[in-house]
Amino acid sequence: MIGQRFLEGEAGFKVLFDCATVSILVVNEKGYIELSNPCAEKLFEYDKGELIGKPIETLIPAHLRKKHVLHREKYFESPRSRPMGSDLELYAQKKTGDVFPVEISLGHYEIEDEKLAVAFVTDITAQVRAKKMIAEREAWFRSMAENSPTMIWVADEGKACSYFNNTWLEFTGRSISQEKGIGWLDIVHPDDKEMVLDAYQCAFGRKEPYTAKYRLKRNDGRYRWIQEIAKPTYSPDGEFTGYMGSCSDVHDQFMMQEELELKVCERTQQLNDALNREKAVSEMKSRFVSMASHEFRTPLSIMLSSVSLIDQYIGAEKDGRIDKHLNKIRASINNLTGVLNDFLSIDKLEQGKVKLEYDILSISEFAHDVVNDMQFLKKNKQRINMQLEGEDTLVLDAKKLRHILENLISNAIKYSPDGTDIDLHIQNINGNLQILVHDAGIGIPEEEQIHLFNKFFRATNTGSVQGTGLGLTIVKRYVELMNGSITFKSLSGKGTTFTIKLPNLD
Amino acid sequence: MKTVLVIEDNKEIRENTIELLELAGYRVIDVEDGKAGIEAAGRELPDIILCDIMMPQADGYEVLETLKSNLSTSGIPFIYLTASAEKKEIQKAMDMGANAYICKPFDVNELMDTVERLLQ
Repeated sequence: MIGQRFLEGEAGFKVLFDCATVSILVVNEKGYIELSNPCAEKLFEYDKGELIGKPIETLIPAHLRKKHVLHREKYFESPRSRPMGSDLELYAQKKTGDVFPVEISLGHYEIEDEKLAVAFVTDITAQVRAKKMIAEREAWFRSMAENSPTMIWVADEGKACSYFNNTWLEFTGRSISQEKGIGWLDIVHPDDKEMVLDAYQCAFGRKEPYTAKYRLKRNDGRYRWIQEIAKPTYSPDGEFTGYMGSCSDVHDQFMMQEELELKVCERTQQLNDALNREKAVSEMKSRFVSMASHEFRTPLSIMLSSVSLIDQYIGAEKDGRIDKHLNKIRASINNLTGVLNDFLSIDKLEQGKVKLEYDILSISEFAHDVVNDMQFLKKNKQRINMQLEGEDTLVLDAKKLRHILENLISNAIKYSPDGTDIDLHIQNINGNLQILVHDAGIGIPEEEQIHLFNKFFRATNTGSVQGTGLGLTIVKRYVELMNGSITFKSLSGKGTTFTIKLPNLD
Repeated sequence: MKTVLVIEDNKEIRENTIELLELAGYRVIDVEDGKAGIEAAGRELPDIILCDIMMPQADGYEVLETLKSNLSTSGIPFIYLTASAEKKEIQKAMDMGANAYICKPFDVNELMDTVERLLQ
């Protein structure tokens, strides 16, 4: 009850009026301000009491004043308490002329038949600004979603799609109502439907991101490959709200990739075919070499042993001519055996079947032994001169080293005339073996030198000298297998020097 | 007189080898396949055996394996005489306990030297 008395008492009313944080204006029927509280004076930036006697329209922007007069007069015809212009945006004007948004509630009372209206004015500039900002931001996000270059969809927690952006709708040429729920599934390619639905439903079950690639019917009725990426969505308080997915038309890239893959497959197949053919030919060649080697050896054995028997049966009676022919047969058989061995060696090298076997050697003994064995090949008055330098012991594959040396020396003999010197210079210093084989033979024509180590190559000046063109190829491969190098210098008609460098383990 | 058993399927090679060995003063027994070779070795107990590798009715490896497993024949010197120049075959032959390996076409002197050496 004290409250009632407080309100009725003048002092109580004054406190309320003066201390209220809402602007209060009391206006008479003619539209003049009868009272204004300090809050109102502050809001409208007038001095104390300055508003009293001024028309209320003073506080209204100029362009609204006429309208306001009508509203005011209408109000006084049937005054009642209500918010003013509840569905309107209201503006007020400060003394400075600044216009600002306001919310106004109206009340009324009468004193001595005079109708008075009370306006409670609140500055809502901050709220309006915040609202505008939110609206702008929302519009921005919406525009971004709608015009995104990728197609976007949103599904709720019940797996029903609730949103498709413009890009999606433009792509499919359908309305959002057609797509909503699982309407979108209608335009997924029949062959992909099950997979897509499966991925979609499984993802919902696990609430994990997923990707899918499927065909979706475009507005022109054609199916296009789509790459979809989707993620679960959550409310700010962490509650699962569904999924959001973005889809891109990757049809062209996909088709190009398919085409490329097909091409790669085709090429690989072609390559494999070629490789298999090559392999088959190589295997056939190997089998042939192996067979030929074996089958040739039997008749060669018979010939060689028969020659020996003839030799023995004729015994002391034979003259030089028979001996000469027997030797020719022997030499031819040995020659043929050599050819067979060369074919076998090159075949094994090409198949990677040749391995190194290390031996401890005395290079002086080894070299003398090789040179002795070569003596019978020498032509009339040819001489093999040997010079040794450096350490005697070394560790190398003796069989291959012998093959290399025999080949180079026999070449030197074969391609040099009677009476010439063949120089063998062997140096073994600090684990590096260097062998020089020099002859004063026919040499190798300069323009042909580049082919010298090629398989089956024979220089044009070899004439009637027999050979397979494999000897130096095998030598080079052996040298390389032993991590060494072979080089040569040659002058046509003057002679040739081969240099071999081999690292050894000693 | 020392006895040499020659096991060789090729008639000509067999005949020539026999002739060469006989000229060198050996007594020679010959057979044309591995199976007969095993029997002859057990029966005759030769002083030395010359054996081909690729043959019908038990190849050279089988012959050597059988002879090595039999006490009466395991000590007989054994020489392979073969047309194969494959290193792995040579290795296999030596691993199995052959005393020597001679590649065809063989040098008569090499053959005689080897036989003589192994008989000493």
